[in-house]
Amino acid sequence: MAATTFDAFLQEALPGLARYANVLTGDRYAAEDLLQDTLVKAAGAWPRMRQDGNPVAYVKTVMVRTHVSWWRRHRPTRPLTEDIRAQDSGLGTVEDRDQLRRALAAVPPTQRAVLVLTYFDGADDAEIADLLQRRPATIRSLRHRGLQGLRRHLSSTELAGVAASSDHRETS
Amino acid sequence: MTDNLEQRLTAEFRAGDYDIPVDAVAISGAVRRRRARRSTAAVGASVVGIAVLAVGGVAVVRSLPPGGTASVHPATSGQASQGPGQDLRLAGVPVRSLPAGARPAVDAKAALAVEPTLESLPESGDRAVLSVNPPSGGVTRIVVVVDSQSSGQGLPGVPGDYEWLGRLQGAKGLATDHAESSTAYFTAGTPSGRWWFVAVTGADEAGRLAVLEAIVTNSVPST
Repeated sequence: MAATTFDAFLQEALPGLARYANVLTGDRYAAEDLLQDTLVKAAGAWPRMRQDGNPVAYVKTVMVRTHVSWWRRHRPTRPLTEDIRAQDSGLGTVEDRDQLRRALAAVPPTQRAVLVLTYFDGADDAEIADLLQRRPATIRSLRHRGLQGLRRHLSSTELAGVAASSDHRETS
Repeated sequence: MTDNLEQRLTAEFRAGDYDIPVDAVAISGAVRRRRARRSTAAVGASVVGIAVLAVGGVAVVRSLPPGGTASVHPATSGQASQGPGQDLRLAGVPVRSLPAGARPAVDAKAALAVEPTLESLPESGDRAVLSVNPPSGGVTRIVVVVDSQSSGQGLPGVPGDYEWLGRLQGAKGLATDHAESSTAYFTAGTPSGRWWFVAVTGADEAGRLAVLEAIVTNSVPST
């Protein structure tokens, strides 16, 4: 059943939104700041969000846009800390994931947002362009540069090989 | 291990360790408090903005000569009195921390005509035009007006978020620095109904702001 109040909506959606903020920022503390900034903005639009029928998507849109603009005002954030180190969740070696996270931390925020929207949300270029208020060609360029940045940082021979064979989406 | 970068990214972003514990009640409370603060600030800013526009508009209209543009009117020395080493008194209140070389100008009109001239000066109120000789921190002229009737007019220059504006014991002040006239301006209303205007002219921005701060923080709170 859909939430009827903003508080009820928060109860249901907060864990997912907090996680999304963390994926976007790659930093737990920045994620908490971003989450609050986003919710302060979204709370005022609750009647409209409810009417649209997809408040989670609305809040995510606000969050992505806030993140991109927030970064413009606050960069750089804190230096990389132990927090960034990946836990072993069976998706590869801890070292591989740690390397990937460090590479992701160096990707500029708009490029990272495009990567998240592409590979986490599965959104297509038109959807991302609409959300970030850019042209689809710009989105393709941002993703291309984001992946290139990752490649540069993934310096081990094994990961360089992986990167070279990847990204058919980018070139298609 | 995944076999390409895209798959690795998908797996990375969907990994469980991006979950962060959040307390919905605490977040909800924090959001509510921040929204309340934002609403209060927005209402306050709107009220102040409307008041400044309204009063400023009236002041500008009143200062317009027929068919002309706004101009700065020369001030008179009024009841200013100050001897060497003494505080100046205007409208019965002391003006403190004037630089050592500050003296009431013999000819206020002539002192005001010295370049760079002021971009803003209240038409009424008890006032003093002081020449500073030798210049202190580059400051050459100080103008102080107390209890002007046209107190709401705006100030030229760039408003500064100066820490000392918060040390005026309830007086609501605005300070700007106007590079073109090499002058730092200040205006404030005190809780007791006094209105202050101070303009400090000098070639060195830091110097004129330091003199302005000293005068304002040592004079305005006590009134």
